[in-house]
Amino acid sequence: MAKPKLHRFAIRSSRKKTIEVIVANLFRLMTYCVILAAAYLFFDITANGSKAVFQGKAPFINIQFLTEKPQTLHVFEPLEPYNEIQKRRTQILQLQSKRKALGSNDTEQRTEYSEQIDNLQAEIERWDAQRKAERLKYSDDAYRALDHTPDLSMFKHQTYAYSGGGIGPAIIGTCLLVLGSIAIALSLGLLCAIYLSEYSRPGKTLQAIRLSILNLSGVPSIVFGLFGFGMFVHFFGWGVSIIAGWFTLAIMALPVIIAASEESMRAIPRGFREGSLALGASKWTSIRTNVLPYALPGILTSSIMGIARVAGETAPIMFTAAYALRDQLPWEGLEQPTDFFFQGVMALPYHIYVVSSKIPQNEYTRDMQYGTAFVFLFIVGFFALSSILLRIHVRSKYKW
Amino acid sequence: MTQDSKASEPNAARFDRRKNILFGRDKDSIIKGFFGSTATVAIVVLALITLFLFKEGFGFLGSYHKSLQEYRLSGLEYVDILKEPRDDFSALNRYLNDIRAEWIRDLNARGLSREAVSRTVTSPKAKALFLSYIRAGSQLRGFIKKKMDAAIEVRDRYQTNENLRETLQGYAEKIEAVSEPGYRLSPEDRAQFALRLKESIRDNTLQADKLPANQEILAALEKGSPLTAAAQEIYLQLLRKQYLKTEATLRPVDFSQSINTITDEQERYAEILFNLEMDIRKVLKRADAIDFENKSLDKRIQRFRELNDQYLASIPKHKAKLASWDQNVEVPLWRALAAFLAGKDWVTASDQQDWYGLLPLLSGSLLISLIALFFAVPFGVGAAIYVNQIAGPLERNLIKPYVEFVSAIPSVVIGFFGVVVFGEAIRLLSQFEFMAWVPFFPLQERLNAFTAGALLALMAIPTIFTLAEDAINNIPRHFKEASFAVGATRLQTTLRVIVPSALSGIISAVMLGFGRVIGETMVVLLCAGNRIKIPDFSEGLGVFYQPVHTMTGIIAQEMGEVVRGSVHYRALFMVGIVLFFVSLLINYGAQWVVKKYRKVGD
Repeated sequence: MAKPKLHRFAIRSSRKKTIEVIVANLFRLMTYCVILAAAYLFFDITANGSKAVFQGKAPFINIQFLTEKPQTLHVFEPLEPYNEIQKRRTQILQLQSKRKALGSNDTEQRTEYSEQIDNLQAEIERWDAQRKAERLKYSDDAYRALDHTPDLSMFKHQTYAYSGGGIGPAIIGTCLLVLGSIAIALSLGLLCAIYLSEYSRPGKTLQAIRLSILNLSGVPSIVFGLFGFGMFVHFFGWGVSIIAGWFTLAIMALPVIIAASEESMRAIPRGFREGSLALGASKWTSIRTNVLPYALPGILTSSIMGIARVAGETAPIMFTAAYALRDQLPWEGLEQPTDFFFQGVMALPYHIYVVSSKIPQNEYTRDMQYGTAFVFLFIVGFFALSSILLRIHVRSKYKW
Repeated sequence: MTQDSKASEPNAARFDRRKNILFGRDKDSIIKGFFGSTATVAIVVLALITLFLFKEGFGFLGSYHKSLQEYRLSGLEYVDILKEPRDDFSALNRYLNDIRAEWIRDLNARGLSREAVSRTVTSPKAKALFLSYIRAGSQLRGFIKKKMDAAIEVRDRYQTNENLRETLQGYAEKIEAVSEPGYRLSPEDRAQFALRLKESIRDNTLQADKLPANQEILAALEKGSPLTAAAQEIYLQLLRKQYLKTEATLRPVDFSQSINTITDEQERYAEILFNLEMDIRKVLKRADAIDFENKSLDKRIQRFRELNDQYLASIPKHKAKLASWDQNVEVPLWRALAAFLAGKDWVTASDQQDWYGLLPLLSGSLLISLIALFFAVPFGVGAAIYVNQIAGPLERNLIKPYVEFVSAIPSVVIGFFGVVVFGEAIRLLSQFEFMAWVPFFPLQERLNAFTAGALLALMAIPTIFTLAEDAINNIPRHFKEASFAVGATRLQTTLRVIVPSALSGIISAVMLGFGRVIGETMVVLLCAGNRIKIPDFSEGLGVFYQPVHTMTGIIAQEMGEVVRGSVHYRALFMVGIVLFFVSLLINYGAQWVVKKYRKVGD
């Protein structure tokens, strides 16, 4: 059959073009792989975490989880399903070993064994559903308040550390740490940036300072943690405390905030300053009225990003401010007001580390782990997202 | 600037309305001074970090040197040389056990019953090989155990002594302070004094006729009233007594004497080695008596024989090494640094000698970074090229903020994801039969270098993507237009014009991504498996699936447990210094690359 005749300018397919399309799609595939990998992470944590954080009935948010202290979980497993499941598990193991011992010719026997195993699995699932429906879970407080403990001839009593209660102190601790450290870092960093960009004389020294600040912003956070531990916790004798954590985190955020704020101030055209100076304004007035207002959005975005960074870091607070477990809130049990600053707190990132590496993994710790990770991701993501959206908005608004 | 200089001139213009506010300064220069001082504070604080790190780090060299010196003087080093033939022998034993296990597997595979297999394996002939070989080393093991215990005892006694000396020093200082007239009790001293006094009254060690007076003093102490002269005298008396008591427990260690208990019995050792050689030769002769009926096993036995020959041949060298060992040779100071930078072991809290060698940690860090960059570079750069050159504006405006958002995911969340989801998923995947072609699947360990590396790639991709995309974006528009004008396709333009001109920026992006990966703590702490050992590179690609430990991980893991000021504490600071320098180097390198090649194409 003859091919239909193409117009002279029609797009013809050629090998070159096919390759072009393939390569372009390869790049597209790579990009979407990255996007999907990250999206799966978000999805997994959101899906599993929302089980702990949300609930089916009003007020739909699990207030207990967000406000209570972490506690030991007491679980009463009904004995009957438990025994039934164990019995079937041993049966399955026996069948499996029998199946293994078979020669390669006994296909009939093999399929029979496999069927039996599948049946047992299904039964286990049924019993498991019953076990889940009948089991009783108490946090430590509730367990102590019980009038009479469940009958131990019908229930199997087990305890799981860290799995009950909620993450209230950790949320409060993280908020405290972030607020204090960002206040210190912002005030120091902003003033420093104003000096460096507006007042200092350009020269070798300024260049060197700028370079070292830039380099310091790439230093691993654990090194800042090490420094904070040696300096604030030991050398100053503050111990593991909020204030040691504040300064450690602030010093970590300082280079980033200085560099970003200075950059957004230097991006303001010289004409803005010169115009103001020409009208007779003093240096400070021209900075105040003609530089800072225009640099503010840029500074704001970078400092919100700084908040996300500071909130997300674990390594610097691991041994300067965070306790694995503390059953008092920061304002409870203070002898004098200054004690507030010299006490360790729980923090969300450290709590995630503790519950995901220091305790045995089982179905009861899952809720705690995922719930904490979800809340944490939500807080950090909120700051990061607002920074990103603000930046997009600012970029489209200010252009010179 | 010109404004300021004008203001400071004596004949300022009439309309200059600057007023003196404070110390002859006008408002503007006060503001400037305020900013300047804050800037100085910030910069001084940042400089302090470096100083502080170095202060702790340099302390390490001194104390590690001292520890190495003790290692030599106490004879532990000698014992470690003694241990070499024992360890080699144990390795040979393991090899033989391996052969035995394979033999059993082989017999099972041939369809022999369980009884038949055990009969063959425990037959006299087999026993003559396998059991006698283990027994051949028993004398050697006993001898070395004895010497090791002796050396450890000497070292421990020495350290106890050192600690006692420090306590004595403390007492001496206290006595001196108390004897001064204007001495005032601190709360801790008061508590201590009261405790001591109470003990003495109970035990009746002070003069009996002064008992009521002493009780009065005690009551005064507990009330918190100031020290009287009589009380001061008694305090001094108590302190001196304590001093003498402690001094009496001091048992100085003379290393030149104590070494004799370790280096004596040379003839006995030579005899033991000789017996070992004889035994090994005898046992090996018996190996022929067993018929393995399997070519590969015969080959392994042959190899075992060769290894034994090598082992026996190495013994004279070992003897020479022992003979040349000298307790009195000073350990040079640089050895402490070398033992840190090139040390192959990181052993802490052992009853023998603690080692602080960087290599296991450094190699672990580099291995993980390699894996992370292996994934992150193609994906990060590829995505940057796609977003900047191929994607439409809508896609671009969505993907760029999304990737930036990904970069804000806290590392501990990624590490958590690795522990509960990714590590398990990789292991399950590796157990499927269709994945068997991948080398070293199925995996033994859920948490290994690969798990950590793959997750770190997810953290490095946003960094590499953002910076590389910036670099590509900065290529002038006319490059692209010129390329199109001469008839190049879009792909040709991208790959041959745009990417090469942005290469310096892309390389610096990759370097900064590397910096992010090597400095990351939580993911490696949670997912790398934390086994302190240099990865076994002889396994080929399997090395990527071994658990490793990293520089950042070790600091995070051990910092909470160390005693302040100990060698271990300072060793962790040294690791911090290394990390600090590595990150500085990477940052500086990235800037250098950009600067050096910026001119290309202009």
